[in-house]
Amino acid sequence: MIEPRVVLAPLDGSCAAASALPIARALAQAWDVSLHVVHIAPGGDARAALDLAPELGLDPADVGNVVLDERVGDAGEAIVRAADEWRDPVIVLCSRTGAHAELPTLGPVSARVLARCRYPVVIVPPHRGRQPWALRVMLVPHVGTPTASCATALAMDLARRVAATVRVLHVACPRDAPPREPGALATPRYVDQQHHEWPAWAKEFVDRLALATFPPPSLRLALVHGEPASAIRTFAAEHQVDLIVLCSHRDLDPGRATVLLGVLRDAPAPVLVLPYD
Amino acid sequence: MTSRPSFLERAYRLLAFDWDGTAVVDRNEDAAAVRHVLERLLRADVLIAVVTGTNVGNIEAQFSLAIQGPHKSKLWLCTNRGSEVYGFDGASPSILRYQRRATEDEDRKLTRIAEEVRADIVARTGLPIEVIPNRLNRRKIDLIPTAEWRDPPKSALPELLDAVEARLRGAGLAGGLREVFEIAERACRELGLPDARVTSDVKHIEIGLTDKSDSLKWVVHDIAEPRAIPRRDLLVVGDEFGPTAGFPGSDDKMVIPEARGAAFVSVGREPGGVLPPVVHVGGGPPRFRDILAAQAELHPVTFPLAPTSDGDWVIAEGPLVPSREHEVESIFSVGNGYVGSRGSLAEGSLLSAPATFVAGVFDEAPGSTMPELVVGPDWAHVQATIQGAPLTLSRGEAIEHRRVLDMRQGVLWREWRHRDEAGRVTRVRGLRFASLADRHLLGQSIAMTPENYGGEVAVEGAPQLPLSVETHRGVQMAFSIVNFLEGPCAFRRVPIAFTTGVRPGRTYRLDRMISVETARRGEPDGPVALQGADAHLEDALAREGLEGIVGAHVRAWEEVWRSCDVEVQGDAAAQRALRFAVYHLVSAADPEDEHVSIGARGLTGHGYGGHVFWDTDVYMLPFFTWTRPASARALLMYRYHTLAAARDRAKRMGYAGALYAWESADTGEDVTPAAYAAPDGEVVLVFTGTREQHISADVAWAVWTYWQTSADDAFLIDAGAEIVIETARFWASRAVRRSDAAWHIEGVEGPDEYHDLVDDDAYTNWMARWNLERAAEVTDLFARRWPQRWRALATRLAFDADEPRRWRELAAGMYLGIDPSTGLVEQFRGYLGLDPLDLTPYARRRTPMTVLLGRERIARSQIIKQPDVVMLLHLFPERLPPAARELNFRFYDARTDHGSSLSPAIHAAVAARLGDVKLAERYFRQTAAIDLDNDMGNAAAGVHFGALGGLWQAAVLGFAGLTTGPRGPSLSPQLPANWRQMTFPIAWRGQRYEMSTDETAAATASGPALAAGAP
Repeated sequence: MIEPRVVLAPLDGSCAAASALPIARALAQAWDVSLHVVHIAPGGDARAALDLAPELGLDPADVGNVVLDERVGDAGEAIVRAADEWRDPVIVLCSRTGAHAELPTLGPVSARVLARCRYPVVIVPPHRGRQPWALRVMLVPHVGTPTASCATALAMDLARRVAATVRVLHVACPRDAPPREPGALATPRYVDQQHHEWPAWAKEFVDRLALATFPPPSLRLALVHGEPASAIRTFAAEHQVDLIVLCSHRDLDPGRATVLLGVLRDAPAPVLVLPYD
Repeated sequence: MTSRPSFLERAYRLLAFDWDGTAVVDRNEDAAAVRHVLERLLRADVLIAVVTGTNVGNIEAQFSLAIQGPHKSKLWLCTNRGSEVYGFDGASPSILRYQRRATEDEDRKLTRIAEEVRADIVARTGLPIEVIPNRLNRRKIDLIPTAEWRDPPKSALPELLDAVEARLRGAGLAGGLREVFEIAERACRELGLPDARVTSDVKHIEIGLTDKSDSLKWVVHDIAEPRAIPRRDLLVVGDEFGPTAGFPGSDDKMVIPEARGAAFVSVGREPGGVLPPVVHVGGGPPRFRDILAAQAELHPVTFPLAPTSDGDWVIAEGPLVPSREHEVESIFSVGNGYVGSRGSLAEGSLLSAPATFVAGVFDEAPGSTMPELVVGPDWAHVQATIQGAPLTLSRGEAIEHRRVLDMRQGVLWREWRHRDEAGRVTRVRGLRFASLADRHLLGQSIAMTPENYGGEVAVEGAPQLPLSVETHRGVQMAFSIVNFLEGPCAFRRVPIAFTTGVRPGRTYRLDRMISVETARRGEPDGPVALQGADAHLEDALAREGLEGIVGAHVRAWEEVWRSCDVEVQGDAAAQRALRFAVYHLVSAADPEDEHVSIGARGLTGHGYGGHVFWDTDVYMLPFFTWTRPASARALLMYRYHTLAAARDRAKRMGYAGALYAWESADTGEDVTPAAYAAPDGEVVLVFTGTREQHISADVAWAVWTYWQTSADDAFLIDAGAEIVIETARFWASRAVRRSDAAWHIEGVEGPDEYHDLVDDDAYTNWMARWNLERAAEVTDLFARRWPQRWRALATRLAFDADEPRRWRELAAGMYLGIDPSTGLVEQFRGYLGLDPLDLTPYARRRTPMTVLLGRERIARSQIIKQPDVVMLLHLFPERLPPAARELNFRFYDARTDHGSSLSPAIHAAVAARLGDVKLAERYFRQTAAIDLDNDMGNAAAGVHFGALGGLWQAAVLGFAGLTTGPRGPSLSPQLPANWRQMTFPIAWRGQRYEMSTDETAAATASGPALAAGAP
């Protein structure tokens, strides 16, 4: 697990974009790293921070705790370049802003950032506004593979830092074959006596997950069945989670990343997308 | 360290050496140091002969009594100056292998010669000279019997020589000691013993029939030659090869023509020098130990047994996957029915769940009322720390790592090469076993080789081990541990934690023996038993030694495999799976304890709390009944001893007779939880404990099947009949007669737990009917064959003579759910009206349907969890005509989810008997994969014993088609296409049979009962 060294929050001055700010600030605080607010101008010269703050809707208190930066050029590419300049950033941005605010999932900027960056990205729903955000309950959907456990280690570490409860969710999908990765633990094929088998399976699942993060945070496992994206969204809404954590290869071509895109569609909470490599 | 001649830099297979002056300074010296290194050599298969002039008692007291174990059989004591040889068989007392006995004439002559010599010297010198007569085959003449020289040490030899010479010459014997020699030799010639050996240790002149040359001849002819050990592999060491006072030293007698080619070394002072082939190195006993240490280093440290190399007998761990650790631990468990231990990494890991279970020892977890098997201490824990760095898989890099379950020998092996963060490479090999020969013993051996470093290594074993544990249910456990460290130069007992220096390339072996004892509080012998853990261990070590304990364990497994190995030619995977099943089944059963049974996960994991289900009676017991009747009997006696609890249960529920617990532990009371929290958060009520009542008939079925197969009348009389009668009484009170005039059993749950409240479950009703029929039969049989015993039992059970008639009436009128037009058996009343949900779209599922679609939906469908009607086809195939068997199997096979690990094996067996071998093979492989597949995660809390028993049934009762008839056991084989041959032993009515069949479906059975012309 690589610890973040900076939190980047790209803003464009819109209310939707600013909804990322409370999350970015809380995450920077949790990891004890600096928060960089990045504005991308379509052209002209980059402006000084003091000139930039009012346009981004940052109040004086906000400005005191952030580093302001303006880049020029295509927003998506500029954010990717800014991220590459920093070592190990976490990017927090709104899923869609401006003219794209009514799109069902991702706007072009967040889509490009998500597809191009190999860094953790938090996608924030555009309508959440700027109300304060605190991480108390984190939802980690998990397919049960060691790779997924490693990929979610950053999120587990975050939960431990802020003493959040992690709700681990395993979705049994009727049509999906279980993962073949060695060490994977899908839903059991045999449930001889359910009152013995399920608690044992749940413990085993959590034990394996905790292997990637020691000591683990507080973990609670839930098992649901159905179409994964829908099941995740439903569970997140019902349990009022503050952050959904998904691992993804980030191949957003048509027909790919269906679970990620499905969760991002009307996600009831910010979604931390972790690279699944 | 003094440099050694080059010939001492090679390994010798046979060492012969003098004792006094060579191995020890004198007989008062503590010989522990030399013994440790000699034991190390004995364990490395080096043969050792002590050649001494003294008697065996002196050598035993100083040296050999402290050696115990089979390696002692490689030690000989050649005593009494060539007159005797003693050997050992592993037990402590010495065994006389050879003795030269003087004839009466020789004895008289020896005495006369000694007296003549004494008289001659006295006459010439006037000195007091004494004859010491009580020596075997020799007489000693003390030339200086003064207080000052009563027991001179070897180191005082020059002074002694001066004193003797001065004494003799001063008294007029001008030739001194040499002249005494001449007098003695002349006396021998003149008095009829021309071949007598005249020797001297300066203080004495000795006249005898033998000397050390006879010892060396025995070493060459009786040790080396039978073992084809060439002379060049013999090393002879002494301290007196050179002349003393002009006479050859006593060890010079060992330089015999028969030993030409051997190496001879003197560690003595040798003031007169030595002649070839003897090489003088000097240095005394310390130098001798140095020579031994060099030899020990040249003989590598080995294990007392070698791993089985035949792949059909081993289960090997694939690439190390840390997250699989729990299931690997279960699969690689070792056990013997009394104690079982998971195959955890000795040093532990983040996911290690080491556990040792003792059969029948249950306790309630804090805040729980449900008894579970107690997790015993991690006795196998060993942590090595190399210069402050723990040797662990979580640090550095595992260059190689593999665990292998050696099923043939009942041993778990581990091979590990590790490079730590400092670049130090360590090779670790280890073995672990639970003795099948002495069920209270566990053993572990770990060999560690620092490949590229030296220095200090700290070793800590089982630091958290409590030596005694007492459960809240009043059971006490006591553990005792003994550690031995075998390094290049020594074998010694060490504490649980110790530090030792290591050298690069050398191997160090830690052996650990553990004794486990249990006792129930209040038992008269309890305290004695618990205190006996230490004594038991010491006694076993003294009696057999570690090698002996290992050897007995391996021999016990050899006997196991003779009695129950299923050999399959042509299908290595099936072969391994069947042996895996047999290995674990045998590891879980204790034929000597009839108060314990086998839980759903045996002694391999904490799953199911160690609770006992119908799995034992219907899935496992057929294996034991057919192969290990003593274990089967013990398991059934557990049911007999818990009959009282079954009676109480029936009474509490308002019924007569006995209703066995769905889940039972140590007392037989039902310990099924009432509810549990599902992973979706829902609190789910559990009804199996009150509704799965078929278990009572299952137990009766197991009793009857055992008796039929074993002909163990004593069991039927003492226990079995009572179980059958009491369970029948339960059914008689449980069934109700409805308006259709049939008897019904309502409000139950059958094996198909997807439908948890049904009326007239087919399996339950059919089993109940069978139970009632057998009860009627057994009362008739009992009364007829053993009338006196029957009267006693009938009185005790308050038996009503009308009961058998009523049982028969109930059985005959039991509702069976058969459609008379088709022969289809409805699984329960109303089943056929449920949603006929098609399983075809879910064919690739690896998840139970209840998970995919939810419990409610499945309960409304015809999807079933596991065989119910098909189970009847398996247990009672003769009760339905062939067409109905086929119809029912196909109907329910299409609707079975196999959501239980008990399910596919039964479908395999039934499909095989119906001739659908391909389908049977598919189910067989599915069963085999339950524990052995790498990606299921099912085995984390223990392996599935019901499925293992089912696998054996699928092979033996299914593919081989084992049945019995009036003429004995026979086969109706339906082998899978690639099974060229299948052979297996069975026990039937007290006789052992070898059953065999092949791809042509030819079947043979050979056994004592067949000699009279049976097929």
